[in-house]
Amino acid sequence: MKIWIAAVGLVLLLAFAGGLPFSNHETQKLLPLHTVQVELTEDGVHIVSEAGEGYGATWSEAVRALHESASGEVFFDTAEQLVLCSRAINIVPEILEEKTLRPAAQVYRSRELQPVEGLNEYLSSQESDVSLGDLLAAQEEGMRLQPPLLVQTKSGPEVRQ
Amino acid sequence: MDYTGELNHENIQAIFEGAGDFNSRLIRVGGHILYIYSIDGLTSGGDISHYVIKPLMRDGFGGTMHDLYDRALHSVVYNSVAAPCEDLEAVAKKLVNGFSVVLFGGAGAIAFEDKTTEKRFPSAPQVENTVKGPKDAFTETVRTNTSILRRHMRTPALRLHETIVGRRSLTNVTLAYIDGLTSTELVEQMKKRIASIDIDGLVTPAAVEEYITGSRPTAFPLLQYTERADRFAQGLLDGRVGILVDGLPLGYLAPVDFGYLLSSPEDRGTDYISATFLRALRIVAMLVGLLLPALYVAMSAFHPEMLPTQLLTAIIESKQAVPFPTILEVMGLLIAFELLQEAGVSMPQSIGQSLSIIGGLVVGTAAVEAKIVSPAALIVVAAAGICGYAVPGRGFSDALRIWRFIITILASVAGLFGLTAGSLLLLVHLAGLDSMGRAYLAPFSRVSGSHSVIRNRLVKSKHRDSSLHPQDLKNQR
Repeated sequence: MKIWIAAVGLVLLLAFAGGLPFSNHETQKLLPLHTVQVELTEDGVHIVSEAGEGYGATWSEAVRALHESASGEVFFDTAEQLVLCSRAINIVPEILEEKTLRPAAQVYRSRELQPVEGLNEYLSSQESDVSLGDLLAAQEEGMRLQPPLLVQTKSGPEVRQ
Repeated sequence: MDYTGELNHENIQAIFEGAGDFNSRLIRVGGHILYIYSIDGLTSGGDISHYVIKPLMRDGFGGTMHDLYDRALHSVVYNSVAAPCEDLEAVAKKLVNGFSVVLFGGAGAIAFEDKTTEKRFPSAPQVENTVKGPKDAFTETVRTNTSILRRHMRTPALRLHETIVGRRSLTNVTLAYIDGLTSTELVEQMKKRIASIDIDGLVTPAAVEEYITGSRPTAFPLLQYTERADRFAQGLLDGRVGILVDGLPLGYLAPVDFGYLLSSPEDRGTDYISATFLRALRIVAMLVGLLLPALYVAMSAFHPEMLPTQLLTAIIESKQAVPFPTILEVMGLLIAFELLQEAGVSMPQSIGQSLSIIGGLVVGTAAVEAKIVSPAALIVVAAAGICGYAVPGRGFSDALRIWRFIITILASVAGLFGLTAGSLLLLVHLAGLDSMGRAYLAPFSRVSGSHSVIRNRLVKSKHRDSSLHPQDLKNQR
C-alpha cells in the first residue's frame, strides 16, 4: 500500500513540476478553426482563418505567427477545409509534412482570398472530392490531384469541380 | 466472558448488578427457596408466570431440592426447551438470550426458553426490490431469519451451525450450508475463520465483513450481502456458504466474484433473454459510470483532436464563460455529487428526496446558468452517477465510485495514457483479489462468460458451478 501511495505521489509531483510528457489544453481558451485559407505572396505565406491571420516566410512560421497573434489557443485539428489561394498549391508538400491539419480536411483552390464570413457554412454544403489525405497519397505515388476551384461570383462563392 | 465462582444467588446477582432490566424473584416451593431470573424485554413475563412459576408452585411439592430440580427438568414445567446450567457463565448466556433461569440452591439451575414475541416481523426488501419474487426480507433476529430460510429451503440437509462471536456482544452467528452439496473444505474454512474472530463485539456489517474476509486493502466487497431470503437460498443451492448474524437484517454469501456482484435478484425473476440483456446493460453502465468522467477529461483537455469537430465545438462553446479548467470542473462536480448522495443518505427519507431535487435540479441548473460549470461536464458527471446506480450492490458501486475518482485523477494528469494506466491498475487489483480462495475475476476466465454476462436457460443449466467444488455437481436431471 505504501508503495502505491509513494508511486501516486511521485506521479503527481512530476505532473505539477511539468515533468510528464503530456500537455493539456485549456478547453475554454481553444479557438477551433473551421476553414483555413492560405496564399503564397512575394513576402511568404499568409494564413487567414476565423481566429485571425498569420504571416511568415514558411508555412510553419505563418502558423506560429497565427498562434501568437490569436486571443486564445488556435486549434488547427478542427479545420474542415483548406483553401489554397493563388500559388499556394506549391506549398502543399510543406503543409503535408508539418501535419498541422487533419488528413480529412477538404481541399479547395481559389484565385484569391475569400471573405471568411459564411465560408465554412457554404463549403460544408459543397464537399470537395479531394482531401489532404488524398493529396498526401497522390504525392507519395507521384501523381498530381486537382482540387475543385472556389470562385467568387456576384451571388457569392461558388465551387466548380 | 469469564465468570468464575459458585453457582449461587449472590454471584448471579453480582453479574447483573446495576442492570435495570434484570429481574429476580424469590419463591417458596414446599419449603424450598428458589430464585427466578429473567431479563425484561427479552423474555415474556406472562409466559414465565404461566409456564414456569405456576407449575412449580402447583406440582413441585415434596422431596429434596434435587428431586425438585429433577421434576422441574423432566416433568413439571411445560416449556419445550429446558437446559440445565452447569455454571455462572451458562446462566448468564442463557439470560441474555431470552431464557428465564430458575436456581435450585445446591442442586443447580435450569434455563427455560421464554422469549418475548416483540421483534420486527419480516417485511418487503428495501433495497433489493423485484417486480416478481417473494417479499420476505431478513430481519434483525437470527432465529426469524433461519425460519424464513427454512421456509424457502425445506431440506433437512440444511445445516445451521451456530456459534457465539464477540466477548462482550455475544453475537449469535449462524453458518448456513447444505450438507451433501456444499464443499466441505469451504464449510471448514468458514468455520475456522469465524472461530478465529476474538473481538469485543460483532455488531456492525463492517465488522462482520472485515473480520471474516481478513480485512484486505480493497474497497471491493469480498462477501456478498443480501436482504432477500430467496437469493440467500439460491446462493446455498449454488454451493456457497451463508452467514446470518444476529442483529443484522441481512445474510452474507461466500465466496463472491465479479459475476455474483453484477447479478441482480431480478435476473431470476425474468426470462433468460431479458435477464441477459439487463446484465449486459449493467456491465455497460458500470463501464460508463467508471470511465466517462475520466474519458471526458482526457478527451477535452488532452486529446481534443480526437473528438468530432462538431462535438468539440459544442464543448468549447459550452465552456467559453466557465472560469475553471475542465479538470477542476469535473472533479468539483464529482465531489458535489458524492456530497449530495451522502447528505441524502443521512437525511430522513422525505427530506432526502427534497434534497435531491434541490441539489440536482435547482443547484445544477443555477450553476450552469451562472457559468460556474459547463452543461457538458454536468451531463457527463450526471450520466456517470446514474450509471453507477444501475450497478447492483451498494458495496460494489461504492468501490467503483472510489475508482472513478482515481481514474479521473490519473486522466487529468496524463490524458488517455492516465486513463489506460488507471484501468490497468484496477484490472491488476481485481485480478489479485480472491474470496475464500475464489478468484475475483473467475467468471471472466472462461470463454462463455459464465454467469457474469449470460444468464443461461434454467432448463439447460444442469450443473452447478464446478469451480465452487460442490459435492453434488448436478442440480437437475
